[in-house]
Amino acid sequence: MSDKDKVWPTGLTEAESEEIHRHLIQGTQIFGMIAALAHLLAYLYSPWLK
Amino acid sequence: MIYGKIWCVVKPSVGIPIFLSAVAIASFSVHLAITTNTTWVKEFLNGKPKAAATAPAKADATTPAVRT
Repeated sequence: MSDKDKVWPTGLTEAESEEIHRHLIQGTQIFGMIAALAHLLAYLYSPWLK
Repeated sequence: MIYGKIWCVVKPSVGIPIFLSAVAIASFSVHLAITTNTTWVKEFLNGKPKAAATAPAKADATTPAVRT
């Protein structure tokens, strides 16, 4: 069994761990973009920072 | 990917809810602090127009006075 196929204490292999992490990062990026858009709209259409 | 192997040692069923909760609690706290420490949010949400809420700023544009 090579090291790449090792099952770690969480029950995941390195490849599976990196796949989960990739999705988490992508979700964070999408959330960040939506939040940035929401803040832009709030800045434009509310008295915030005026 | 940097830190991609974290889920080998942290169970995703524990780590992901903690991560999402941290984001939710942090953003909620910031927004709560803004609503409780300013007056314009309440006024704006109760229908006070943006122009009226920023009327002093408009006056400043024509007469350069010191803003307090």
